[in-house]
Amino acid sequence: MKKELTLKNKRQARNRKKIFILLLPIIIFAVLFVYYPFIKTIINSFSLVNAKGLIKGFAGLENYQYTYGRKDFLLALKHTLTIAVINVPITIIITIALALLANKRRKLSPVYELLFTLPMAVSMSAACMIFKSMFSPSVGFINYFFGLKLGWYESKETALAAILILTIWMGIGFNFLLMLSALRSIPDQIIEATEVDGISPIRRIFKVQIPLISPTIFFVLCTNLVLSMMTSAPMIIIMGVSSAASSTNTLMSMMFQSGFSSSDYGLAAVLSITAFSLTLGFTILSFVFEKKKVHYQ
Amino acid sequence: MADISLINIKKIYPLVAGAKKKRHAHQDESSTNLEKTERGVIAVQDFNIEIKDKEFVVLVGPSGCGKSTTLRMIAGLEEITGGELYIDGKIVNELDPKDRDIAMVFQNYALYPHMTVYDNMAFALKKRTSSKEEIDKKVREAADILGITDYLDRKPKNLSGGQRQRVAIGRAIVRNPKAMLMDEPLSNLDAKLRNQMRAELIQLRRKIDTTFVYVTHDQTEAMTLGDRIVVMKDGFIQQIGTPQEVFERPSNRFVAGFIGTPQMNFFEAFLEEKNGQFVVDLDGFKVPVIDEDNARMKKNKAKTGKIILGLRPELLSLENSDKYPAAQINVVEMMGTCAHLHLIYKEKDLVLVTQARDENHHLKMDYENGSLIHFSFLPQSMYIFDLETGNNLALSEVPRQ
Repeated sequence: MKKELTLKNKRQARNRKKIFILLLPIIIFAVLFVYYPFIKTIINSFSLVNAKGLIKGFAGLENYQYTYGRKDFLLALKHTLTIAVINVPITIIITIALALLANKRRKLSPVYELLFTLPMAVSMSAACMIFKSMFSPSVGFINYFFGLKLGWYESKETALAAILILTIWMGIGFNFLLMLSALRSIPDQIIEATEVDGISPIRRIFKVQIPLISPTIFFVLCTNLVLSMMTSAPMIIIMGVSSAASSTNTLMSMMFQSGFSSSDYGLAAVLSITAFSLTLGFTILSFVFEKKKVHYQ
Repeated sequence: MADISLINIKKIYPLVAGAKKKRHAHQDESSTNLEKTERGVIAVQDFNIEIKDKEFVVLVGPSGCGKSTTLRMIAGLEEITGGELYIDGKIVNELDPKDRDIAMVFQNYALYPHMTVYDNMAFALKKRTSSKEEIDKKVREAADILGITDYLDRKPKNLSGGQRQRVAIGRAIVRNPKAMLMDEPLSNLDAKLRNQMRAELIQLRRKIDTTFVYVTHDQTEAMTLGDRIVVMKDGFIQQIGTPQEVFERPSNRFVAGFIGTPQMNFFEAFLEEKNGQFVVDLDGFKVPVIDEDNARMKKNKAKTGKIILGLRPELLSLENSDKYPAAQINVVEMMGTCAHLHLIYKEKDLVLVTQARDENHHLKMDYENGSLIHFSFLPQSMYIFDLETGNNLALSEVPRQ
């Protein structure tokens, strides 16, 4: 009996070793690129950091006071929240609508699906450049088409709106695909049951189809919320250091500029921590919402 | 509460451009014998039946015979390629399912998983009737009939298969539809529950007086539930009749083999005629055809020669004399009150059902594998089928080819 036990223990120990070895690569990766930077950023946010990124002493809450007192921080925070609050619901509504349109299998279905998912295949930087020229005041297609004379990215009033359009467009492809596959996984017989029961299409959509794809809607909500909070590429690539740049700055683009352009590591660290806390808060909020509204099969 | 007439109903599934080539390439391997034309695969054709008000009609047949397609055409979930469908005297070919005032119970229940049992049943009512009290009354009434009042607040995932099936039936009956369509409603249940639900369906039918069209591949369900049975194969109706008619006077070899368990035994035999009397010759064992069948066979101009003889396993009897045909015991299945003897006769399987106990109530255990036994049958238990067409030669009317 005892012998058996020790044998078992030996085997377990060997298994544990094997598991550890197999997990090692991802552990190294996570430690180097996720946990170490995360802890380093927290430490930086409470320290005096010089332009070379070296810690020169303890700063307490000084960095936070400095950052939160800045006017451009408040503006960046406002932009970040604006993007999140507008982008997420609009993306969800548009992708559900497109998925409902494409749901029924027709001869041309693959064509629609391809058209709707194509934005996925465009890289962020390429999309930024395309949108920049599309919204250009002189040669831009948008102004020509609508007969406008707006300098979309040059004017403080319209720059954020133009960036929102770009952000939403970029997200549609992938989220559409998620919504479509969720809609198509609803059993045909349930839809047929609504037909026989005489349920109108509107009621079917709101009372049957949307509740049944709520897990996917929740997933899209969470991921898009995080992505929106992290939006920075359009600001950096399109706006650069233009005169209207400050009208679109988000926490992330501000962090990028302070960290990599101005080498103000204390400020950058505080911005990162702030964005992280906000994202965490939103995610927790959405999980509260999930308990009430999301139905899992 | 309505009569339903199907006149020359036909369903063709059009071939998709890509699938056409593929199907032609695999034509020989195709498992079903459905007829294919330029326009597509014919799933149902020449379907004619008058379903009377409050009748319970069962469509039965092997998978791919077109029974579900027919039901779905009645429901309006499948387009009708040809023919006319009347509900309550009105042609409904072009009507949407919701305008036909029918209810359907699906094989996998198709309950709305995010709604409680109550909401599942009330959902379809909310549009039709405005008052909340009325809906509540109807739902509780239906729940009472089906014995699911205790589960009204539960969601489908917290119910057993039988309970879910009851909810699905409840959802159908609250609306008080003109007809109830049921697509293999019991086939997702285990054997014990299936028997129980079958009995409940018979009771339910007494409580709610409406027209039923019921699809199943299970001949027991068809026999026990139906006022009339429609036996289908390869898109064609093989026979329409009461359970008794279909069992006792099958129109052809397919129906005879499909209805009844264990299956009917079929042998090749010879038909002879002497002075106007038909005699079946099974390997030298000669049995005269009974007068009633004899007259019909004469009327049908039955030809002598090779025929297919059909014999139900329950109507074969064991004999001790070697003047009767002999067979070898292969497998003995003890079923409790009776035993199924699987015999080999002329290199073919033959099933014989015999009592498991003798007159003194002692178990008969003397069936030894490999031993020879003799069997016989009475003239009135013979079914005689045409060798080529498989049609029952003793049928009062000549069946369709």
